[in-house]
Amino acid sequence: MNARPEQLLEALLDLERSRQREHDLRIESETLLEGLRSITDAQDTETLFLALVKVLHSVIDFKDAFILQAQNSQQIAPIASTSEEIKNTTWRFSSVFNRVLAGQPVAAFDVNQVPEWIQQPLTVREDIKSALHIGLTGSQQPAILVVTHPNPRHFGVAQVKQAKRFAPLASQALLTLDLQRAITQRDRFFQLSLDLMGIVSFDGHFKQFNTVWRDVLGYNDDDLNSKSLFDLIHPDDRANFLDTLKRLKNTDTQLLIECRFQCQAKNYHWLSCSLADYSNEQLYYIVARDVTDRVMAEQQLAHDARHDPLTGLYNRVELMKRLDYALTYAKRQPRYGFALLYLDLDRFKIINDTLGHNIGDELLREFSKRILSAVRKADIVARLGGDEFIILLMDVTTQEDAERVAQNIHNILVPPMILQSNAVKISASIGIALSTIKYQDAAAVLHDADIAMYAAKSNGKSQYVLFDPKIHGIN
Amino acid sequence: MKIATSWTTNSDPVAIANAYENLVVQLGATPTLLILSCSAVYKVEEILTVLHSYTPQAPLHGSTSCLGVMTQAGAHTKDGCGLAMFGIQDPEGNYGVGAALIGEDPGAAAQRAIQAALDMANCPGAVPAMVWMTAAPGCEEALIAGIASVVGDDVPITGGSSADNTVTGQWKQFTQNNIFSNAVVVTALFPSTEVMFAFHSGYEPTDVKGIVTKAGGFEATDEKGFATKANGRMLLEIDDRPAAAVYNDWSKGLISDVLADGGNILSRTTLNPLGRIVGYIGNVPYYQLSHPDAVTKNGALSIFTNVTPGDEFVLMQGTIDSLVSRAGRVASSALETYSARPKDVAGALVVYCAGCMLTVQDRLNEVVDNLRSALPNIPFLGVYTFGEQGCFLSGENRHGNLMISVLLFSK
Repeated sequence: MNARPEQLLEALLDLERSRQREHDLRIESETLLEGLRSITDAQDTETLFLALVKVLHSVIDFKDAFILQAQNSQQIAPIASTSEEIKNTTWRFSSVFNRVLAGQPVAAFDVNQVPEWIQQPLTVREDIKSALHIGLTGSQQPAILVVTHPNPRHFGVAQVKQAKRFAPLASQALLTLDLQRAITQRDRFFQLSLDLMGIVSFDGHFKQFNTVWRDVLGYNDDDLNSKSLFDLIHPDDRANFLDTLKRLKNTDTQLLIECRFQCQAKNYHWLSCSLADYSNEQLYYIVARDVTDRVMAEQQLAHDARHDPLTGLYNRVELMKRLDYALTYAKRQPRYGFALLYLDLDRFKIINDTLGHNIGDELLREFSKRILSAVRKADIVARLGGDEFIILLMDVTTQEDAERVAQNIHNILVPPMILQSNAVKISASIGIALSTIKYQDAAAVLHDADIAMYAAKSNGKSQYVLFDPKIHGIN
Repeated sequence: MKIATSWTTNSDPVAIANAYENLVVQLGATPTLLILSCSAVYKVEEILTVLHSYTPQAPLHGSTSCLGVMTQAGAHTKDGCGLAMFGIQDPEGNYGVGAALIGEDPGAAAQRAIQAALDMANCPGAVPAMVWMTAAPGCEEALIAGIASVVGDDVPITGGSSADNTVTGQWKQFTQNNIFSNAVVVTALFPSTEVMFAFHSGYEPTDVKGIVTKAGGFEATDEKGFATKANGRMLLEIDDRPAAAVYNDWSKGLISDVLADGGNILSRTTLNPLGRIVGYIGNVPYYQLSHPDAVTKNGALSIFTNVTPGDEFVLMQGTIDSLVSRAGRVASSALETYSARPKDVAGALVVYCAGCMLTVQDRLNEVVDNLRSALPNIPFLGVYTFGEQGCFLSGENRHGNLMISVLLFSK
């Protein structure tokens, strides 16, 4: 169908309108984009604000400008302004600001009618008649950019449209500044932290680390950049650490692990590590705390609870526990046996009383060393208290084996001990109890060995006696 | 943003209530703004009573339309009776309706009306995205100027003068609380989405040989002249000759039978209005139309727009076919101008000159079809008016005759 002349005229007008509109939009967009490139370089609010003002000025004519940022759900206050009068003001949300923050720029042809402006003192608005309000949604705290003019009806629909195009770009600039600020703050926390913090690739190489790694482990930046985190971990702890990393892949939360990390000086520090796995980044995040002192203290406490503080041998509590294990095992394994040797030093009280407690203590320590040298590593040596010692011989089933050890102990006690220039001769009476199925508990074994020891003492000391229920009574 | 329309050709209050209920069902809620248009035979008091029973305080912008209305469902007129509602559901937008009796000072009345509308929208002092206006015919230019004096020149003003079925002043303007016959009603629109608009004459200059004789434009026809004596809407002389005689010469004797004694010429001049260049888009001029409705005994032309000495007129020419297709073309133009697609549009308001409507009365269904084609599956309300107001894209708000104004709300 042929177009009629009036249709051709209309089509021509439409074409011209579209062409002009697109031309205007292109020019404006190019102007905005050019200006916004400078905005992204802004490092602080004031610089960003001045850059925003400059860009907006290139497309909209105005006199002053300010940015309001929400303080709470009701109040909003200036964070930057080209006008001194505005700087100390506080504003309350009403219909216009709510509409602006909902994404609709609002031009006010007469600010003296706008609820938010009416709340301001006359001195603030005496030279302002119209305003354009633009919501900036990029920041965590909602913000509004306001530009003003002394003439009424200065801003209209055209400026609102320009503001709509400007707002997303300005919001993005504000968001960028917020992110830069957040990164700076995070970096500050990162460096201020008392904990070791790091980001590590899945192959263990450091992507980021703070200075605490250097402070705690002694490595410099080059050391850490060239090392794998996994290589720093004590060989005995590495498998457990890697297993924890594996488990991270199946959980959304962080996992905790304590392990030893090697220092530059080759010693180890215990680090308590909180680990998180961000698979999409192929990175592990690690925050670690040096807990060496705590671990060592705990280990010391655990050692003290099981050992005699004077000699370092096991104490009664640990002995009874081990004896219980041996008894239980012997009941399950009929071929397994053990022997308990109850040792009591002969004439120790006289030595203690005559040479003093210090020498007495030294004697006990020297005695401990000698009997340790006479037994296997698997055997248990304990001090019950005073001058009474126990040797638990593991995997011993014959009287001869037990007596051989007892005789060996007598032999190693023959050379005198030199204690603070005093040559001291010492001997021990030894009672021996062999494991049998009749023993129900550790105390019974200990009791029988004690009886045998007293028999040895009665027989003239420096002897060993094997407990015989027929001779020494039935338990 | 959700928009729906409903209609009836029955003046019974029950039918009106049913239409309102239908609208609410489509919207899923009470409308944020209700625009209602009906032919002047409706008793507006009854309409308001019905609406009050549902929603006493909802903003209502009402006016009468010539013979009936049109919606996407068709042209609605039956024995001079037709009513349609256009509901906007936009909780995130702000809308307010204000009205004022025109009285002696139309500009001041328009100022009061827009101020009231802004207050009702809870946006006092704020520039609306658009103003929708309805007024009694007679002083629309002053009303537009009055609105602009409050909100500024660049706020688009769109609307149509209220009309009746017999051109006997039975027109009405109304709001949720008041009914007027000589008032201006305005709605300040702060929608949550974009608005798009177009305002076209749809006529061509009568002679193409005069094109581009003035710098930056083209002279549309040899048949042009300057109004040398004017009295409001009375065109007394053109080129120092009686205006009616000049028009008769230009139109080759179209009104020769009334030159001597005067008479009504409204229907016969619909296809040959007078045009004034009101601006250029690029190098292309666009026209504001004036519809001669009568010849006076002293040889003057009565028209429906103001005219002042120094205005330049061009005889324009249209066809029945062009009047039928124009509304759809203007709607398409609004879309094209904003690079929008029909699926982006929630609804449309169409202002269609009553004079044109009367000329193409038998082909109104084709007018609706053309609109439906341009705005597929989009609800629209079309009103037939005694004067059209709209905003040319180069920015001016104008009142004209035989114009078509389309306002689109995006989703």
